[in-house]
Amino acid sequence: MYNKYSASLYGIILRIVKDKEISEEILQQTMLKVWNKFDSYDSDKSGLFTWASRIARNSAIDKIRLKSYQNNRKSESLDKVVHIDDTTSDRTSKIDVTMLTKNLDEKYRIVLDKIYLQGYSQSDVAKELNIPLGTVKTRLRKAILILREELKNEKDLFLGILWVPIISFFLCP
Amino acid sequence: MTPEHIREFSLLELLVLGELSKSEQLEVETAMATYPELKEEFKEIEYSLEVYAQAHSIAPPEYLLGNILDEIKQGKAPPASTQSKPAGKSNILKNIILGLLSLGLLTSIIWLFQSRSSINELNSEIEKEKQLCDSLQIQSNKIIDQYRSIVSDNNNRIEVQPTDNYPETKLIFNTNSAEERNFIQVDQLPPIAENQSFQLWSLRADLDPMPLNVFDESYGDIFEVQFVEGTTAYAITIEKKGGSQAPTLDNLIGVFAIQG
Repeated sequence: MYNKYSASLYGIILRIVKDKEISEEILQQTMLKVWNKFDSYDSDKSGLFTWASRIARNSAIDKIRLKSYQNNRKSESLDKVVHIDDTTSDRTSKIDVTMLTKNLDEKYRIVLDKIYLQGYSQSDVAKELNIPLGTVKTRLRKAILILREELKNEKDLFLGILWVPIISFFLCP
Repeated sequence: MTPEHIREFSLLELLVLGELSKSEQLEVETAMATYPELKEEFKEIEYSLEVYAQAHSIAPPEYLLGNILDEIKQGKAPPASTQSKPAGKSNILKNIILGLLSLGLLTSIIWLFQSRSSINELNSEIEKEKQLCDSLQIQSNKIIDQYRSIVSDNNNRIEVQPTDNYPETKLIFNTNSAEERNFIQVDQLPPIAENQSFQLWSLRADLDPMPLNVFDESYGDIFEVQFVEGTTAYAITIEKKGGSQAPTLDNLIGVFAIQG
Protein backbone atom coordinates (compact mmCIF):
# COMPACT_ATOMS: atom_id res chain seq x y z
CA MET A 1 0.00 0.00 0.00
CA TYR A 2 2.84 2.41 0.86
CA ASN A 3 4.56 1.72 -2.45
CA LYS A 4 1.35 2.14 -4.37
CA TYR A 5 -0.19 5.18 -2.74
CA SER A 6 2.41 7.11 -0.72
CA ALA A 7 3.53 9.34 -3.60
CA SER A 8 -0.04 10.23 -4.57
CA LEU A 9 -0.92 11.01 -0.96
CA TYR A 10 2.29 12.94 -0.41
CA GLY A 11 1.55 14.99 -3.53
CA ILE A 12 -1.84 15.99 -2.10
CA ILE A 13 -0.52 16.67 1.41
CA LEU A 14 2.42 18.74 0.21
CA ARG A 15 0.18 20.88 -1.97
CA ILE A 16 -2.09 21.56 0.99
CA VAL A 17 0.45 22.28 3.71
CA LYS A 18 3.26 23.49 1.44
CA ASP A 19 5.93 22.33 3.87
CA LYS A 20 8.03 19.22 3.36
CA GLU A 21 8.67 18.37 7.02
CA ILE A 22 5.06 18.79 8.03
CA SER A 23 3.94 16.87 4.95
CA GLU A 24 6.19 13.99 5.92
CA GLU A 25 4.71 14.00 9.42
CA ILE A 26 1.19 14.01 8.02
CA LEU A 27 1.96 11.22 5.56
CA GLN A 28 3.42 9.19 8.42
CA GLN A 29 0.33 9.83 10.55
CA THR A 30 -1.91 8.94 7.63
CA MET A 31 -0.15 5.63 7.05
CA LEU A 32 -0.33 4.76 10.75
CA LYS A 33 -4.04 5.64 10.84
CA VAL A 34 -4.64 3.44 7.82
CA TRP A 35 -2.70 0.64 9.53
CA ASN A 36 -4.47 0.98 12.86
CA LYS A 37 -7.98 1.64 11.58
CA PHE A 38 -7.96 -0.86 8.77
CA ASP A 39 -10.75 -2.77 10.52
CA SER A 40 -13.09 0.15 10.03
CA TYR A 41 -12.42 0.32 6.30
CA ASP A 42 -15.44 -0.81 4.30
CA SER A 43 -14.56 -1.70 0.73
CA ASP A 44 -18.26 -1.61 -0.20
CA LYS A 45 -18.39 2.07 0.59
CA SER A 46 -15.23 3.30 -1.11
CA GLY A 47 -11.97 2.30 -2.70
CA LEU A 48 -8.87 2.03 -0.54
CA PHE A 49 -7.24 5.07 -2.11
CA THR A 50 -10.37 7.18 -1.62
CA TRP A 51 -10.42 6.19 2.05
CA ALA A 52 -6.71 6.85 2.57
CA SER A 53 -6.82 10.14 0.65
CA ARG A 54 -9.71 11.39 2.80
CA ILE A 55 -7.61 10.71 5.91
CA ALA A 56 -4.62 12.46 4.35
CA ARG A 57 -6.60 15.48 3.14
CA ASN A 58 -8.47 15.89 6.42
CA SER A 59 -5.25 15.61 8.45
CA ALA A 60 -3.55 18.17 6.21
CA ILE A 61 -6.53 20.54 6.28
CA ASP A 62 -6.80 20.21 10.07
CA LYS A 63 -3.11 21.07 10.29
CA ILE A 64 -3.29 24.26 8.25
CA ARG A 65 -6.33 25.42 10.21
CA LEU A 66 -4.38 25.32 13.47
CA LYS A 67 -3.48 28.77 14.74
CA SER A 68 -0.02 27.60 15.72
CA TYR A 69 0.60 26.49 12.17
CA GLN A 70 -0.62 29.78 10.73
CA ASN A 71 1.55 31.79 13.15
CA ASN A 72 4.63 29.72 12.32
CA ARG A 73 4.03 30.19 8.62
CA LYS A 74 3.98 33.95 9.04
CA SER A 75 7.32 33.96 10.84
CA GLU A 76 9.05 31.58 8.40
CA SER A 77 11.11 32.77 5.53
CA LEU A 78 9.51 32.48 2.12
CA ASP A 79 12.19 30.12 0.79
CA LYS A 80 10.95 27.34 3.08
CA VAL A 81 7.58 27.40 1.39
CA VAL A 82 7.42 24.74 -1.21
CA HIS A 83 6.24 25.77 -4.59
CA ILE A 84 4.91 22.91 -6.58
CA ASP A 85 3.93 22.85 -10.19
CA ASP A 86 3.65 20.10 -12.73
CA THR A 87 7.33 20.34 -13.59
CA THR A 88 8.50 19.60 -10.04
CA SER A 89 11.46 17.23 -10.28
CA ASP A 90 10.22 15.05 -7.39
CA ARG A 91 7.21 14.01 -9.35
CA THR A 92 7.22 10.24 -9.79
CA SER A 93 4.13 9.57 -11.84
CA LYS A 94 4.33 7.89 -15.21
CA ILE A 95 1.02 9.53 -16.05
CA ASP A 96 1.42 12.59 -18.19
CA VAL A 97 -0.53 15.43 -16.58
CA THR A 98 -0.56 17.39 -19.80
CA MET A 99 -2.10 14.49 -21.69
CA LEU A 100 -4.58 13.78 -18.93
CA THR A 101 -5.72 17.38 -18.72
CA LYS A 102 -5.48 18.26 -22.41
CA ASN A 103 -9.25 18.60 -22.68
CA LEU A 104 -9.60 20.15 -19.26
CA ASP A 105 -10.21 23.84 -19.62
CA GLU A 106 -8.14 26.01 -17.25
CA LYS A 107 -11.23 27.30 -15.42
CA TYR A 108 -12.23 23.74 -14.54
CA ARG A 109 -8.71 22.59 -13.72
CA ILE A 110 -8.12 25.42 -11.24
CA VAL A 111 -11.26 24.57 -9.29
CA LEU A 112 -10.37 20.86 -9.20
CA ASP A 113 -6.78 21.52 -8.15
CA LYS A 114 -7.76 23.93 -5.42
CA ILE A 115 -10.39 21.67 -3.92
CA TYR A 116 -8.83 18.24 -4.43
CA LEU A 117 -5.12 18.92 -4.32
CA GLN A 118 -4.90 22.02 -2.19
CA GLY A 119 -7.63 21.41 0.37
CA TYR A 120 -9.76 24.47 -0.36
CA SER A 121 -13.41 24.40 0.55
CA GLN A 122 -15.86 25.27 -2.22
CA SER A 123 -16.64 28.57 -0.47
CA ASP A 124 -12.94 29.44 -0.27
CA VAL A 125 -12.58 28.81 -4.01
CA ALA A 126 -15.64 30.94 -4.71
CA LYS A 127 -14.12 33.79 -2.67
CA GLU A 128 -10.64 33.50 -4.13
CA LEU A 129 -11.79 33.25 -7.73
CA ASN A 130 -14.63 35.68 -7.10
CA ILE A 131 -17.25 33.44 -8.66
CA PRO A 132 -20.57 32.21 -7.27
CA LEU A 133 -20.58 29.04 -5.18
CA GLY A 134 -22.92 27.42 -7.70
CA THR A 135 -20.37 28.00 -10.44
CA VAL A 136 -17.67 26.38 -8.31
CA LYS A 137 -19.86 23.31 -7.89
CA THR A 138 -20.68 23.16 -11.58
CA ARG A 139 -17.03 23.54 -12.58
CA LEU A 140 -15.90 20.89 -10.11
CA ARG A 141 -18.44 18.44 -11.47
CA LYS A 142 -17.56 19.34 -15.06
CA ALA A 143 -13.83 18.91 -14.36
CA ILE A 144 -14.32 15.42 -12.97
CA LEU A 145 -16.68 14.54 -15.82
CA ILE A 146 -14.04 15.55 -18.39
CA LEU A 147 -11.44 13.43 -16.56
CA ARG A 148 -13.80 10.46 -16.57
CA GLU A 149 -14.38 10.84 -20.29
CA GLU A 150 -10.65 11.15 -20.91
CA LEU A 151 -9.90 7.99 -18.96
CA LYS A 152 -12.74 6.13 -20.66
CA ASN A 153 -11.34 7.06 -24.07
CA GLU A 154 -7.87 5.91 -23.04
CA LYS A 155 -9.32 2.64 -21.77
CA ASP A 156 -11.22 2.08 -25.04
CA LEU A 157 -8.06 2.88 -27.00
CA PHE A 158 -6.06 0.45 -24.87
CA LEU A 159 -8.63 -2.29 -25.38
CA GLY A 160 -8.65 -1.50 -29.09
CA ILE A 161 -4.86 -1.83 -29.26
CA LEU A 162 -5.07 -5.04 -27.27
CA TRP A 163 -7.25 -6.60 -29.95
CA VAL A 164 -4.68 -5.95 -32.70
CA PRO A 165 -2.22 -8.73 -31.71
CA ILE A 166 -5.10 -11.10 -30.90
CA ILE A 167 -6.73 -10.58 -34.29
CA SER A 168 -3.28 -10.74 -35.97
CA PHE A 169 -2.60 -14.04 -34.25
CA PHE A 170 -5.76 -15.60 -35.64
CA LEU A 171 -5.44 -14.04 -39.09
CA CYS A 172 -1.72 -14.67 -39.55
CA PRO A 173 -0.82 -17.69 -37.42
CA MET B 1 -32.70 11.13 -2.33
CA THR B 2 -33.08 10.71 -6.08
CA PRO B 3 -30.21 10.17 -8.55
CA GLU B 4 -31.12 13.49 -10.21
CA HIS B 5 -30.78 15.32 -6.92
CA ILE B 6 -27.45 13.61 -6.22
CA ARG B 7 -26.10 14.54 -9.63
CA GLU B 8 -27.44 18.11 -9.50
CA PHE B 9 -25.61 18.82 -6.27
CA SER B 10 -22.43 16.86 -7.19
CA LEU B 11 -22.89 14.73 -4.10
CA LEU B 12 -20.96 11.78 -5.52
CA GLU B 13 -17.95 13.99 -6.19
CA LEU B 14 -18.20 15.51 -2.73
CA LEU B 15 -18.48 12.05 -1.19
CA VAL B 16 -15.22 10.98 -2.83
CA LEU B 17 -13.60 14.18 -1.63
CA GLY B 18 -14.89 13.55 1.90
CA GLU B 19 -16.79 16.86 1.90
CA LEU B 20 -20.18 15.52 3.02
CA SER B 21 -21.58 15.46 6.52
CA LYS B 22 -22.23 12.04 8.11
CA SER B 23 -25.98 12.26 7.46
CA GLU B 24 -25.49 13.33 3.83
CA GLN B 25 -22.94 10.58 3.37
CA LEU B 26 -25.40 8.02 4.72
CA GLU B 27 -28.16 9.26 2.42
CA VAL B 28 -25.94 9.08 -0.65
CA GLU B 29 -24.69 5.61 0.31
CA THR B 30 -28.30 4.43 0.74
CA ALA B 31 -29.18 5.84 -2.66
CA MET B 32 -26.16 4.07 -4.19
CA ALA B 33 -27.39 0.80 -2.74
CA THR B 34 -30.78 1.42 -4.39
CA TYR B 35 -29.50 2.69 -7.74
CA PRO B 36 -26.58 0.61 -9.03
CA GLU B 37 -25.89 3.17 -11.77
CA LEU B 38 -24.98 5.67 -9.03
CA LYS B 39 -22.51 3.17 -7.56
CA GLU B 40 -20.91 2.76 -10.99
CA GLU B 41 -20.70 6.51 -11.37
CA PHE B 42 -19.15 6.79 -7.91
CA LYS B 43 -16.48 4.24 -8.83
CA GLU B 44 -15.67 6.12 -12.02
CA ILE B 45 -15.27 9.35 -10.04
CA GLU B 46 -13.04 7.59 -7.52
CA TYR B 47 -10.88 6.19 -10.30
CA SER B 48 -10.64 9.56 -12.08
CA LEU B 49 -9.50 11.33 -8.94
CA GLU B 50 -7.08 8.54 -8.07
CA VAL B 51 -5.47 8.82 -11.48
CA TYR B 52 -5.44 12.61 -11.15
CA ALA B 53 -3.68 12.27 -7.79
CA GLN B 54 -1.22 9.79 -9.29
CA ALA B 55 -0.49 12.23 -12.08
CA HIS B 56 0.37 14.79 -9.42
CA SER B 57 2.27 12.41 -7.16
CA ILE B 58 5.52 13.38 -5.48
CA ALA B 59 7.94 10.88 -4.03
CA PRO B 60 8.25 11.12 -0.26
CA PRO B 61 11.77 10.84 1.17
CA GLU B 62 13.05 7.28 1.25
CA TYR B 63 13.61 7.23 5.03
CA LEU B 64 9.91 7.83 5.68
CA LEU B 65 8.94 4.21 5.10
CA GLY B 66 11.56 3.11 7.66
CA ASN B 67 10.14 5.59 10.20
CA ILE B 68 6.62 4.32 9.67
CA LEU B 69 7.69 0.67 9.99
CA ASP B 70 9.66 1.48 13.17
CA GLU B 71 6.64 3.12 14.69
CA ILE B 72 4.44 0.17 13.83
CA LYS B 73 7.00 -2.22 15.37
CA GLN B 74 7.27 -0.11 18.50
CA GLY B 75 3.85 -0.98 19.69
CA LYS B 76 1.26 0.28 17.35
CA ALA B 77 -1.11 -2.62 17.21
CA PRO B 78 -1.50 -4.08 13.78
CA PRO B 79 -5.00 -4.12 12.42
CA ALA B 80 -7.14 -6.77 13.97
CA SER B 81 -7.94 -8.22 10.59
CA THR B 82 -4.29 -9.25 10.14
CA GLN B 83 -4.04 -10.82 13.58
CA SER B 84 -5.35 -14.15 14.63
CA LYS B 85 -8.28 -13.25 16.83
CA PRO B 86 -9.38 -15.51 19.66
CA ALA B 87 -12.48 -17.27 18.56
CA GLY B 88 -15.56 -15.61 20.06
CA LYS B 89 -18.89 -17.30 20.64
CA SER B 90 -20.16 -16.22 17.26
CA ASN B 91 -17.01 -17.60 15.63
CA ILE B 92 -17.38 -20.93 17.43
CA LEU B 93 -21.02 -21.10 16.36
CA LYS B 94 -20.03 -20.15 12.82
CA ASN B 95 -17.35 -22.84 12.78
CA ILE B 96 -19.79 -25.44 14.15
CA ILE B 97 -22.38 -24.55 11.49
CA LEU B 98 -19.67 -24.57 8.84
CA GLY B 99 -18.43 -27.94 10.09
CA LEU B 100 -21.95 -29.41 10.12
CA LEU B 101 -22.61 -28.10 6.64
CA SER B 102 -19.32 -29.58 5.40
CA LEU B 103 -20.15 -32.89 7.08
CA GLY B 104 -23.62 -32.83 5.55
CA LEU B 105 -22.16 -32.12 2.15
CA LEU B 106 -19.61 -34.91 2.52
CA THR B 107 -22.30 -37.37 3.68
CA SER B 108 -24.52 -36.40 0.75
CA ILE B 109 -21.66 -36.97 -1.69
CA ILE B 110 -20.85 -40.37 -0.17
CA TRP B 111 -24.55 -41.30 -0.15
CA LEU B 112 -24.83 -40.20 -3.76
CA PHE B 113 -21.88 -42.36 -4.79
CA GLN B 114 -23.20 -45.32 -2.81
CA SER B 115 -26.65 -44.89 -4.33
CA ARG B 116 -25.16 -44.75 -7.79
CA SER B 117 -23.15 -47.87 -7.05
CA SER B 118 -26.25 -49.66 -5.69
CA ILE B 119 -28.27 -48.59 -8.71
CA ASN B 120 -25.56 -49.97 -11.00
CA GLU B 121 -25.54 -53.26 -9.07
CA LEU B 122 -29.33 -53.44 -9.23
CA ASN B 123 -29.28 -52.70 -12.95
CA SER B 124 -26.75 -55.48 -13.41
CA GLU B 125 -28.95 -57.88 -11.39
CA ILE B 126 -32.01 -56.87 -13.39
CA GLU B 127 -30.11 -57.49 -16.63
CA LYS B 128 -29.05 -60.97 -15.43
CA GLU B 129 -32.62 -61.80 -14.37
CA LYS B 130 -33.89 -60.56 -17.69
CA GLN B 131 -31.43 -62.79 -19.55
CA LEU B 132 -32.44 -65.75 -17.38
CA CYS B 133 -36.09 -64.98 -17.98
CA ASP B 134 -35.48 -64.81 -21.76
CA SER B 135 -33.60 -68.09 -21.63
CA LEU B 136 -36.43 -69.75 -19.64
CA GLN B 137 -38.94 -68.34 -22.07
CA ILE B 138 -37.03 -69.88 -25.00
CA GLN B 139 -36.78 -73.23 -23.22
CA SER B 140 -40.43 -73.06 -22.28
CA ASN B 141 -41.43 -72.29 -25.86
CA LYS B 142 -39.23 -75.16 -27.02
CA ILE B 143 -40.86 -77.58 -24.58
CA ILE B 144 -44.34 -76.39 -25.56
CA ASP B 145 -43.40 -76.81 -29.20
CA GLN B 146 -42.04 -80.32 -28.59
CA TYR B 147 -45.10 -81.23 -26.57
CA ARG B 148 -47.42 -79.90 -29.30
CA SER B 149 -45.54 -81.92 -31.91
CA ILE B 150 -45.55 -85.09 -29.80
CA VAL B 151 -49.23 -84.95 -28.90
CA SER B 152 -50.32 -84.15 -32.42
CA ASP B 153 -52.12 -86.79 -34.49
CA ASN B 154 -49.19 -86.97 -36.89
CA ASN B 155 -46.82 -88.18 -34.21
CA ASN B 156 -45.84 -91.86 -34.17
CA ARG B 157 -44.80 -93.08 -30.73
CA ILE B 158 -42.39 -96.03 -30.85
CA GLU B 159 -41.28 -97.91 -27.78
CA VAL B 160 -37.70 -99.05 -28.39
CA GLN B 161 -37.13 -102.73 -27.77
CA PRO B 162 -33.61 -103.09 -26.35
CA THR B 163 -31.17 -105.82 -27.36
CA ASP B 164 -30.17 -108.50 -24.91
CA ASN B 165 -26.96 -106.61 -24.11
CA TYR B 166 -28.89 -103.64 -22.72
CA PRO B 167 -32.20 -104.93 -21.36
CA GLU B 168 -32.55 -102.13 -18.79
CA THR B 169 -32.97 -99.54 -21.54
CA LYS B 170 -36.31 -97.74 -21.67
CA LEU B 171 -36.70 -95.27 -24.57
CA ILE B 172 -39.58 -93.83 -26.56
CA PHE B 173 -38.92 -92.60 -30.07
CA ASN B 174 -41.39 -90.01 -31.39
CA THR B 175 -41.45 -89.32 -35.10
CA ASN B 176 -43.71 -86.80 -36.81
CA SER B 177 -43.48 -87.26 -40.56
CA ALA B 178 -45.82 -84.36 -41.28
CA GLU B 179 -43.54 -81.92 -39.45
CA GLU B 180 -40.40 -84.00 -40.25
CA ARG B 181 -39.31 -83.95 -36.62
CA ASN B 182 -38.01 -86.69 -34.29
CA PHE B 183 -37.79 -86.73 -30.49
CA ILE B 184 -36.18 -89.17 -28.10
CA GLN B 185 -37.90 -89.58 -24.75
CA VAL B 186 -35.53 -91.11 -22.17
CA ASP B 187 -36.76 -93.14 -19.29
CA GLN B 188 -33.62 -95.14 -18.66
CA LEU B 189 -30.31 -95.51 -20.49
CA PRO B 190 -27.61 -98.14 -19.89
CA PRO B 191 -24.49 -96.95 -18.07
CA ILE B 192 -21.57 -95.93 -20.32
CA ALA B 193 -17.92 -95.04 -19.74
CA GLU B 194 -16.75 -91.42 -19.69
CA ASN B 195 -15.17 -91.81 -23.10
CA GLN B 196 -18.39 -93.06 -24.66
CA SER B 197 -21.58 -91.54 -26.07
CA PHE B 198 -24.87 -92.77 -27.43
CA GLN B 199 -25.43 -92.30 -31.16
CA LEU B 200 -28.52 -92.41 -33.38
CA TRP B 201 -28.36 -93.91 -36.85
CA SER B 202 -30.65 -93.69 -39.90
CA LEU B 203 -31.11 -96.95 -41.76
CA ARG B 204 -32.33 -96.74 -45.35
CA ALA B 205 -32.70 -99.47 -47.97
CA ASP B 206 -29.53 -100.28 -49.88
CA LEU B 207 -27.57 -97.59 -48.11
CA ASP B 208 -24.99 -97.59 -45.34
CA PRO B 209 -26.19 -96.47 -41.94
CA MET B 210 -26.11 -92.69 -41.67
CA PRO B 211 -24.63 -91.31 -38.45
CA LEU B 212 -26.97 -88.88 -36.73
CA ASN B 213 -27.05 -87.24 -33.28
CA VAL B 214 -24.59 -88.07 -30.52
CA PHE B 215 -26.06 -87.70 -27.01
CA ASP B 216 -25.70 -88.67 -23.40
CA GLU B 217 -27.72 -88.48 -20.18
CA SER B 218 -27.15 -84.77 -19.85
CA TYR B 219 -29.52 -84.12 -22.77
CA GLY B 220 -32.49 -84.53 -20.41
CA ASP B 221 -35.70 -86.48 -20.52
CA ILE B 222 -36.78 -85.47 -23.99
CA PHE B 223 -34.85 -83.89 -26.83
CA GLU B 224 -35.14 -83.42 -30.54
CA VAL B 225 -32.98 -85.41 -32.98
CA GLN B 226 -32.47 -85.32 -36.73
CA PHE B 227 -35.21 -86.44 -39.14
CA VAL B 228 -34.04 -88.10 -42.36
CA GLU B 229 -36.45 -88.53 -45.22
CA GLY B 230 -36.68 -92.16 -46.47
CA THR B 231 -35.49 -93.71 -43.24
CA THR B 232 -36.98 -97.13 -42.75
CA ALA B 233 -35.57 -97.67 -39.29
CA TYR B 234 -33.45 -95.90 -36.71
CA ALA B 235 -30.86 -97.51 -34.46
CA ILE B 236 -29.04 -96.44 -31.28
CA THR B 237 -25.55 -97.66 -30.42
CA ILE B 238 -22.85 -96.91 -27.88
CA GLU B 239 -19.86 -95.32 -29.59
CA LYS B 240 -16.68 -93.60 -28.67
CA LYS B 241 -17.18 -90.08 -27.31
CA GLY B 242 -18.11 -87.74 -30.12
CA GLY B 243 -19.58 -90.47 -32.28
CA SER B 244 -18.47 -92.70 -35.17
CA GLN B 245 -18.99 -92.88 -38.91
CA ALA B 246 -20.00 -96.55 -38.77
CA PRO B 247 -22.03 -98.19 -36.02
CA THR B 248 -20.37 -100.61 -33.57
CA LEU B 249 -22.78 -103.47 -33.82
CA ASP B 250 -21.52 -105.12 -30.60
CA ASN B 251 -22.83 -102.05 -28.76
CA LEU B 252 -26.24 -101.95 -30.41
CA ILE B 253 -28.91 -100.87 -27.93
CA GLY B 254 -31.89 -101.18 -30.20
CA VAL B 255 -33.33 -100.89 -33.72
CA PHE B 256 -36.84 -99.60 -34.34
CA ALA B 257 -38.67 -99.46 -37.64
CA ILE B 258 -40.64 -96.46 -38.82
CA GLN B 259 -44.07 -97.26 -40.03
CA GLY B 260 -45.57 -95.89 -43.17
